[in-house]
Amino acid sequence: MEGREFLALATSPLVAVAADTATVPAILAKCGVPDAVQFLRPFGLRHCANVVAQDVHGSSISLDPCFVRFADIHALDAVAPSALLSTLATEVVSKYASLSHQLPALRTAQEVEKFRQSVNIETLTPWFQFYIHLLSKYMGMSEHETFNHPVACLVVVSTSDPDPVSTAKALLNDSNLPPSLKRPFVDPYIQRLYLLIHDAEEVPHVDPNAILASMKRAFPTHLLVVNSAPPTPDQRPVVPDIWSPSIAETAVLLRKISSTTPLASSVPPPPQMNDQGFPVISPGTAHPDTGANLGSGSSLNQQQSVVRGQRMSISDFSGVETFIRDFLLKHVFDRMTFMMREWERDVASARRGISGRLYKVGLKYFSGSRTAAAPPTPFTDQATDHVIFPFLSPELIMRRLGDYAFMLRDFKYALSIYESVKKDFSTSEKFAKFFAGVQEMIAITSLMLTDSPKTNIDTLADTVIQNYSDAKCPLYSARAAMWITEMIKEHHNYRDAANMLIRFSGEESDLRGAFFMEQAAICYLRTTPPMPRSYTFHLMLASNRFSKCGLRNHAQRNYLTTLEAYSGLNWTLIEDHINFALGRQLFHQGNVQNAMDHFVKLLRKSRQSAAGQRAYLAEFLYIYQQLAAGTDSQALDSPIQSIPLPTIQDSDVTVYSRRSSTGDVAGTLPGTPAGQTGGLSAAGLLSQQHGGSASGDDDGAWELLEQQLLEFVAQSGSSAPAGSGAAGSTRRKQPLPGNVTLVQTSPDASTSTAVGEPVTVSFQWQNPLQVPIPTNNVFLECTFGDQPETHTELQILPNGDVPSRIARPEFELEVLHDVSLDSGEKRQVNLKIYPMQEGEITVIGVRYLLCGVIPSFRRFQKRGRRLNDTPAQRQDPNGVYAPDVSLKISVTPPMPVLDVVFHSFPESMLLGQVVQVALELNNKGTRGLKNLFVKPSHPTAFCFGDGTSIELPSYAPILTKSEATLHETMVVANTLEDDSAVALQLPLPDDATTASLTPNSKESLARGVLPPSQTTLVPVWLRADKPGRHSFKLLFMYQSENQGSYRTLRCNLSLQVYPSLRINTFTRTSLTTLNEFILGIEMENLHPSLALTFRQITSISPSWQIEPLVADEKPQACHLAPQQTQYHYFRIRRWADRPPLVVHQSPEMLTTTAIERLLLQEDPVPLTPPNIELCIRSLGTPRNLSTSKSFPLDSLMHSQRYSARMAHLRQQYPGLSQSQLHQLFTLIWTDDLDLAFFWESPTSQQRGHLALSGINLCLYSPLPVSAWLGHLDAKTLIGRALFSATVRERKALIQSFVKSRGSAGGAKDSSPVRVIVKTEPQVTLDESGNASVSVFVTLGNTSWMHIAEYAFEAVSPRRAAASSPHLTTLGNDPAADQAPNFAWVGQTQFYGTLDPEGQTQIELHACFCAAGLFDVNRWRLSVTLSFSPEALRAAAASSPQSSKSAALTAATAAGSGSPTASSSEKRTSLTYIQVPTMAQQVLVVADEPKLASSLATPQQ
Amino acid sequence: MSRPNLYFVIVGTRDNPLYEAEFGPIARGEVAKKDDLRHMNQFVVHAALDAVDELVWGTQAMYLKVVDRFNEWFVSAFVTPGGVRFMLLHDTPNTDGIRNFFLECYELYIKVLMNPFTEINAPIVSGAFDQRVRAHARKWL
Repeated sequence: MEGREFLALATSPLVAVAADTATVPAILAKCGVPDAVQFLRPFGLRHCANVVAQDVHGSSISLDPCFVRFADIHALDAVAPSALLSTLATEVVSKYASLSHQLPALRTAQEVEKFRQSVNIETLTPWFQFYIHLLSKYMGMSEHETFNHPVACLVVVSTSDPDPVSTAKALLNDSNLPPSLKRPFVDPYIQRLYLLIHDAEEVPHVDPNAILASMKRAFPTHLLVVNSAPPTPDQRPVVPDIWSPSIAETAVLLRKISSTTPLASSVPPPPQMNDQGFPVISPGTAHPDTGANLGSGSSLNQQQSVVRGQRMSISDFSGVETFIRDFLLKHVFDRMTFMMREWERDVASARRGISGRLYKVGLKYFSGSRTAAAPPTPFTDQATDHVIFPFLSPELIMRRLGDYAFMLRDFKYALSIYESVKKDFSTSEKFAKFFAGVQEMIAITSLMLTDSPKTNIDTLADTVIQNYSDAKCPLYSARAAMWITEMIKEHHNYRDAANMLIRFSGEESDLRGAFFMEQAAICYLRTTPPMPRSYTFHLMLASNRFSKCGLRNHAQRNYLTTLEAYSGLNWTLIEDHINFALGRQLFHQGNVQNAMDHFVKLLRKSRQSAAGQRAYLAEFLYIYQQLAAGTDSQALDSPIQSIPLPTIQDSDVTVYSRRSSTGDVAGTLPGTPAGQTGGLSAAGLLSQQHGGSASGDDDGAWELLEQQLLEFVAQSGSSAPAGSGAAGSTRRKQPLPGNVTLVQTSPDASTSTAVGEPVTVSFQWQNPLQVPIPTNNVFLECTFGDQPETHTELQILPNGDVPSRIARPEFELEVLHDVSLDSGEKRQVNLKIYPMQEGEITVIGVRYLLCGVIPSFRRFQKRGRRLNDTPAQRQDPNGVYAPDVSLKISVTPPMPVLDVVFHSFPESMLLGQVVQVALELNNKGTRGLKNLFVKPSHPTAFCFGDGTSIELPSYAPILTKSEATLHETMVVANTLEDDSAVALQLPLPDDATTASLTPNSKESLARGVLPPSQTTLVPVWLRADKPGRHSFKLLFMYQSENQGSYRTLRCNLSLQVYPSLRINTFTRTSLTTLNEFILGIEMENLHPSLALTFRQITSISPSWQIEPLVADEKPQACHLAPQQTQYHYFRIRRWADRPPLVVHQSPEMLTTTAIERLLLQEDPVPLTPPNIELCIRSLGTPRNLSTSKSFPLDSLMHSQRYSARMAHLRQQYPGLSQSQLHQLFTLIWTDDLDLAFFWESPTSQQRGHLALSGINLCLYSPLPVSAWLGHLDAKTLIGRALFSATVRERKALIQSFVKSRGSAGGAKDSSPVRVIVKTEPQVTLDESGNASVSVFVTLGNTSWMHIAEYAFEAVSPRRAAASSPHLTTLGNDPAADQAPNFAWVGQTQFYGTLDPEGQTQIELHACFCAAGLFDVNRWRLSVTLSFSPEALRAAAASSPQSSKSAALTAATAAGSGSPTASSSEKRTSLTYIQVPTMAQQVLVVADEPKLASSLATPQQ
Repeated sequence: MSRPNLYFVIVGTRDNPLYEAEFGPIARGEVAKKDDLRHMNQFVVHAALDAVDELVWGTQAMYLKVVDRFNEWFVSAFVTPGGVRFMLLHDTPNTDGIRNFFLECYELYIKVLMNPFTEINAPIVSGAFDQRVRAHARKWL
């Protein structure tokens, strides 16, 4: 019910009922109704249809719906005192507080629309309906308005009364008016009507009509017959029960009154006034009727089972209805109309215009009957200090006129009356209440008339509220606000209604504020479009007000709605506010557990200020203490587990084993300070397989090292003879320990440790708050094996100290006493577990004491790797994760623990310097250590020796020789083999130490096992390979003597390398000799202060050797002062004693066929090149030559060569993997040359060498891949080869092989045929002016696998200039054109074939006819290369696919600009055209030989 | 001259705040009394989104000027084409300054969006963004 209907009810005419208490209640009690008022009231609330009244002008007004209110004449304002009403309202409203009435959380307009369709919004807040009805109904009489003044009085007597007439008279007579009617502002002369109730059962012998007749003689009386229905056994009423709701409502109210005030019966009756308006003090007894009312109210409690209307028959019921209707129409409305007309005539018109006044003047002068007495004036009630207008004062008459008009729905007239009376009340501030009342009615009446009145409702409302509050009538102000809002809502202006409610929520009453805010919120749901956010916001405001006025349940209900609406949106301050408020509400309600839940949510990182967080934390702690005080500690476990302080990232929780000594840091210091004797401790990090986590950046590098080392160990374990290829080599290989088997667990495996070795659990602990939080007594909670989870208690020692460890039989736990966190601080917490038994320890979480009060437990919830195996797993939006195992620690039997220390590890070195350092290995564990491997990150920098080599010098001198040259040979394996991982052989103890060892230890050492707590030394040679700062990583891996699993040790070393010598070399072919090169060396001492001596140069090559430039040159030491540069020249000559080449075993041919196999997708065959013999030639100062054959120099050289070779190959063939490179290429090619430059510092005795690897002295491309494979169609290759690779990768790979000719990658492309022209430098013209000279041309084929078919043509200078484009260089020489020329005589064209490494000589004759300088180096050589029969045979033998490939179409040459290909050959032939590049000049003189000799020197 | 109290928030399409900043005495915590009511800033701004939702259909401008008021507070709004709303709570009217401020912030926001790793409706945690917004606030507000 709202809007018009509600107001029609609230402002319906009020009828005072005065009933005979002696007989009437007894009769009505049979119907189950306590008294006459209760009996009649529901009938007045029933809609009386088709009620028509007349307005003041005589026109009809339909009153539909039409209501009439009945009230006990003695209780017209029974509940009125506003304070009581307010408490009452609070009490009653609180009964609606159950959470089932929670309003919905709505976020979007769509949700609201949907909700609006499903629910009647009016019914959402029954408590508000109750409140508004309460205020409207039980407000009581007031002096400023007349809605609650009775318009008529009904006197009820019964026929049971022996003398109803006199009883009726006694009930209401002018001399004995009830106090409520005695008030000065109440009109006592109201219509009186009498009702006679007859119960035939009660008085069977009485004739009701006779009594009615006798009554009617005295007053207008109506007869009502009740209880005519016979009593039925089931007491089922035949009429509808219309009484129960109103009786129940009143009963509740009365019960509340009696319960709220201890003196229930002393509900203060309204102050009685005497005629002068003074209160009559009669405190002796309450009015009996009031007491009766209350009594009946309380007796209702016992009569809950009473059936209402049980004895009423249908005719009784309709009789009452008819009576009410007649009563209304004939008595109430008629009388009201009559009164209105009278007042209109007497008072209202007088105030209206000239005519009214004239009329009044006329009355005054012409009607003598009326006294012209002055109208009554307002006076001030002394008791209440209220201004009171007596009921006859024109102002109040006007007001009553307006109210009557309003009741009869003549709103236009009512409005005009209100408007006119408004002026009277606006004159004085004392009339504020009256003024407010009129304004209120103006607003409401205007809204009744139209939905958009001219007057501004907001302004009116403001005035109303203002004036009511001035008059201190907050309830009326509330009522006015509600009535006006109801009317605005009636017009569907919900937004205005909301604004109105918000405006009137005011500060004075929290209850009203709360209700209004809530109603405003609901109005926002009804707007178009809906405003869900405003709804939520105002619900929150309402909650605040509810909580202020003590309606906690209502507050909580709305807070919950708000929290739900804001959840997940991340409005942190809002969430904090609501959680805090809810936590408090719940706490005050005694629901501490739930309060904690809300408070816990506050303890997080938010935008809250530090002060706010401090308050939250303090309140939280207080509540926790309350909770702790209330419950036993066991029950506390559950909520406290979820405290999010301090925060821990679960994924950051790591477990690793670390040396037990404290304060150790991963890695080592860069160098040992001078004077420190202990050497450099590589203690660093003792890492357990996969469990380790040192500094995060290096992790990848370490894991790679470990993986490579594992591969190495696995290979050497399975194919131990892999190194046997080098059996014959002189280079020393580290013997591998036999039977290496590693038990490798999967990467997901848990951390493992040995008994007695502590494991550290590390996690990052962060304080999200801006307030410091003290945290104490931190320890881990773990379980062992399958034991169930337990709650580990920290036993505080008797003296109050906290123990540093918690001991359990299986393990001990470290306890950190104080880990307090400052505001926002991050702290790494490391907690140790000391395993005591073999088995498995699972870390469950961490226990700590938060803020000194709360024992907390934080469970670690790590998850394993993300699973990606099935589509379901892949598509799961949250991902599917493997169970975590990283928090499980498997405890193994005791293990060896390796500790390594480098003694005298240098801080800095010069480039190339070699230093011997001692590596001390110490087994600190309790088991023997075996199978020790080491893998350095920089293999070229380390060379590990063994026990036998500890005395070896870095550079073994050859003291016996006095020559300046040293010639050695060495056979090495030609496979590319990465041997950076080294198996360290433990040195056998020498005699001195043996004595102190037990026999067991001796025996262990002999088996290669390092017994516990034994130390041994291993020599290590360190070579500074590159300048700069280096950080070396050494990964040691070892096993226990009786276990298969391995352990690793990571060791970090760092070294600064300063530059020493810089060496540039270049080679150039000799002009005069085949197979000879000139080597130029530019050598610069870069060291700023140290003089260096260049001591020795060594060449290592299968085909070449170094020689002095001048054969008999005396070698001498070259001293290089700081910053000095020197040049040296040497000759490189073919090694004369080179073993004959086997073409099909040559490295190049093997590689070529291997590439062919790869491209043709044939099964790879392991490359097994034969060992290769190297010529080592050293030149240097006598008696000081070092051999490169001996350890450790050979090892250093080898690793240097390997790394240089790999770097070169990786650069040239980036598409190939390392294993492919190992399968395709050899370590050394036939024409490779390595150079080593040895230097020493005479002052500091530092020695070192620089190495230059991989100089290829071959003239032509050493890998004839393109020629070899040229007959295969390029597309065929791409289509067939390498199905595993993508097309792009395949193309790139083939390009790198085939098109590498002439590319920058280093593969050369030129003809292998060398031409050397020799002639006489000078001739003299004979008498005839002619001269001739023989020119000898030597053609040499430097290739050992090609047959060169050549066509040599001596080109005459003129022709060459005119025709040959190849000779443009000559043709451009103007001097050659104009100068007198020479001519070739004799045969000028030669054809022939050159075998591999063969040579031939051609003689030409040049004839000169003038003197001058002539260039005779004029020829053109066309060379066609084809593979030698040996090469083809080798290919046929090695490639089973070659027959197939031969059948393929002969192809065009791959690569643009390549020499023309001949398709007749199976293998593509290469054709080169060569022309001279330099002049070979002959001086022709007439007769002055001296001059000629000086000019004839050929230019080099 | 005391600086006005301001609360700026970027609200994503799901009504979640993407970025929040307070300028003026509130931010520095000088007003102890107001400190207790900081959550009201969020409430008021959030409630004003209703008004924005309504107003946005009636204009083509992105800047909606003052859309709502609560007690002494004004709420100005700016709606990006993507439906992200910039809301500014202020206690002194300053239409042009706020317009400029919003436009500058819009540019900054676009830059954030252009980062390919930006997720829609994810909070903006960039320190540079914060710094620049504050600089613009100093300049315009």
